[in-house]
Amino acid sequence: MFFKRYLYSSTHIFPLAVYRTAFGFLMCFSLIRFIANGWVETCYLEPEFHFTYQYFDWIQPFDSAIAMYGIISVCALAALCIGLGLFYRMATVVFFFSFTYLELIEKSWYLNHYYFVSIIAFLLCLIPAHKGYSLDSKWIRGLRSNSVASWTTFILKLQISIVYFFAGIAKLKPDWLFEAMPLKIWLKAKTDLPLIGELFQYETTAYLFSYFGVLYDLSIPFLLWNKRTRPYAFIAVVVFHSLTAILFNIGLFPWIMIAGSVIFITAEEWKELLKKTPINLSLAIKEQYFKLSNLKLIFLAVFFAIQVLLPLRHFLYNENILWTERNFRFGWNVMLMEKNGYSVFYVEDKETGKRWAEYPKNHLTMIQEKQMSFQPDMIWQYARFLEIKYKEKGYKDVSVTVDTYVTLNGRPSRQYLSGNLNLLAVDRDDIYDHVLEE
Amino acid sequence: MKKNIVFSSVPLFVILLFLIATGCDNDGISEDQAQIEYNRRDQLRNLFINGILPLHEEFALQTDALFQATEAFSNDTSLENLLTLQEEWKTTANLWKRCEVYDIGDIKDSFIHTRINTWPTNTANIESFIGGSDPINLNFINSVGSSSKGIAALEYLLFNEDVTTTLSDLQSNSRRIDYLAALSEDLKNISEEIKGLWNAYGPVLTEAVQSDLDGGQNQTVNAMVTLLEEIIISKLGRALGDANGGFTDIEELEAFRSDISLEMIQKNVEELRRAFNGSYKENTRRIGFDDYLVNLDNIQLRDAIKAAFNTVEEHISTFDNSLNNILQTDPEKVLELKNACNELLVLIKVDMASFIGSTITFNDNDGD
Repeated sequence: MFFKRYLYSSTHIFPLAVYRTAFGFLMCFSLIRFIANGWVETCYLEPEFHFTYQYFDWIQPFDSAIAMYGIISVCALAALCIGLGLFYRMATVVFFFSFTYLELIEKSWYLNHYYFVSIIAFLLCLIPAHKGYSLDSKWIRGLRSNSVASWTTFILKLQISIVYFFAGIAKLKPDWLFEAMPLKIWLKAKTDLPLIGELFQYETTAYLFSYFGVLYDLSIPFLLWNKRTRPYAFIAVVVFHSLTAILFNIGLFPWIMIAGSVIFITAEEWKELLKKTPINLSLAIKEQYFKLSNLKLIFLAVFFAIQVLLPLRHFLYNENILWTERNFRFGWNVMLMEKNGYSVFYVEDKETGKRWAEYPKNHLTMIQEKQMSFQPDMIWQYARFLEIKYKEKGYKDVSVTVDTYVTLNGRPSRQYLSGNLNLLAVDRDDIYDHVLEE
Repeated sequence: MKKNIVFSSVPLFVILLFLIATGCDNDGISEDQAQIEYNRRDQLRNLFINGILPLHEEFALQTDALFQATEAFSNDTSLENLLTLQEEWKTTANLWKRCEVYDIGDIKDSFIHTRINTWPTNTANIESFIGGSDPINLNFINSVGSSSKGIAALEYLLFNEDVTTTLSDLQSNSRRIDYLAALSEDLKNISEEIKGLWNAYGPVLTEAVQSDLDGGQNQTVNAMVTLLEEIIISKLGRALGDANGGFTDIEELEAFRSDISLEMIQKNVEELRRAFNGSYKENTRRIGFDDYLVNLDNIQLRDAIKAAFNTVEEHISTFDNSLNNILQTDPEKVLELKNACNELLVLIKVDMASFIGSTITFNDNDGD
């Protein structure tokens, strides 16, 4: 009952508005950067074949470059509108659908933070984050309010906490805890970094980073929720993510997480932070009781139950998830491994008995080839692509096998799937059962 | 009030913590760190000064020798001069196969390698140029595409038919000799150009000791992988029928006309081995990837790669005939060579690249 009262109570809109602004502008920058880096071509236009997500095979890119650039531009514009709080309701829906569409086109480009962005975009569709400090509220008098329901900020905080917590759980693995892998490899490759690089030659540093990383992920949500520890937690967030940005090629992920953490800062705390600036934040709010319908409550409960269960689903299998990658995606398995592989496929025409090699680089982009080389479902998908390709050429009955070697966290490469396994005779979900022992 | 002070101090804390994290003793670097950087720099210096530079100087001299032989043949289209010219071409082609792996940095960006050797050559274009009326000279060759010039185009003119027919074709058509001479002169000029490019880029490469994708080590590993894949996919795979449904085809070999495809692969592999071992010159600190792996305590991987090189070279040494013949009589033997190359590729592309923290794929996506 107390919890319900808390959810329905009023809270100052300022933290939510700051979050909305940071998220919108960051996403707009991210999409402009995506275009500027030429990734529209690399990700959507150049590939001859796309690795689609299970159940979303129907999602395909448009062949037209104009169409793809158009969609990304609309997505970027929607993000900008979210940042400005302009046509917010429409902008969040457009951004959610366009960004998620773009994300679902190509599995080899899966990133945890793209998934995170989709989730946040979805939640923003439910939240009236434009009621204050937005162009909408400036122009629509009836909309203007300095308070929102507490559940609006709560669900964002909960989502961010889920990301951190399960990223921490995911690190509780022998490689991370007992071998300091993959940090041992990654840090040794960064010994040339100015000032701190020399520390990375020592294995102790890798162990310290590993343990600090897991402690950080597991504790930071609680420290951010707690009023007393929040200032220190926020400092830790900034330092931790700044270091990861310096050390690793992880793009906007650190900045998205830093921006995400500002939702934990209350209006009172913002007032203190801003007191030396011209911004004078009034803390007075109109007390209201924002009751949520039971339907909406159930919907949110189901949504977060899914968010909790998805990262746990791999525990149903007694296997090294880093090796098999079964249920690996959508589980906040962030920066857990240094994995690399190489695959050559063999096609056999069963009618003539002729057998020949098929090299993925002939049909895939570099990133597709790399990601496929150690992910069973993608290997399976590529075999299906070859089957279709050869059927179109007039081959009636072919088998496809793969010679594939994978190395995980610095260990010597091992054969990943049996070279005798006809991939066309295996169901998509069953391919993981055929992954050989590490 | 206490809370307020803490929050007001957030930026200060951030800066302070960052300085603590980054402000460790920077008066110098530790002995081990110095050793790693010294080894990297030393490896790159060895690669450039003892490997790449002399090789490209030799290549420039050899293309000059080829040009002289072409001039001699142009002046006197005798059989003896043609045979000399053919031998010079073989020496040039084999020497280029040693340079081929070093398609790195500015050299790669300049696409000069494609101007030196693009195969298969476009025979239809060459014949149409010879059959045309435009004057054939250096300017003309400069205007044609890469697939109509360079080493592969020269091979077509010198080896497409048996020596008697080739001689007669050349003697009976002065434009054919003009094309040959212009190609040879163009190759000589390009070899000087690539030497100049290396002279300019070499010092940059030797200082690229950083571990990112532009680092000299990473670029070298990527170049080694690219060549190994080229050997497997194009130089052996296509001839074995990988691109046509499993039917062997000697015309898919790189140098089926001159029948030196195997020698070319051998030169490729020898140079790959040198790049790995750093064994370019006697009496120098011949540091290569092998030493670097030992420095990172992975003797097992170093030995595995050395063994894989041995296996490839042993396979090549068992070929008692040219690749053209073996492909027709014993394609299984060629397949075994390809498989041996594949094993070497896995060790370099997967194991070594992963272990030394080199990203094989130029993945500039935001990975996490």
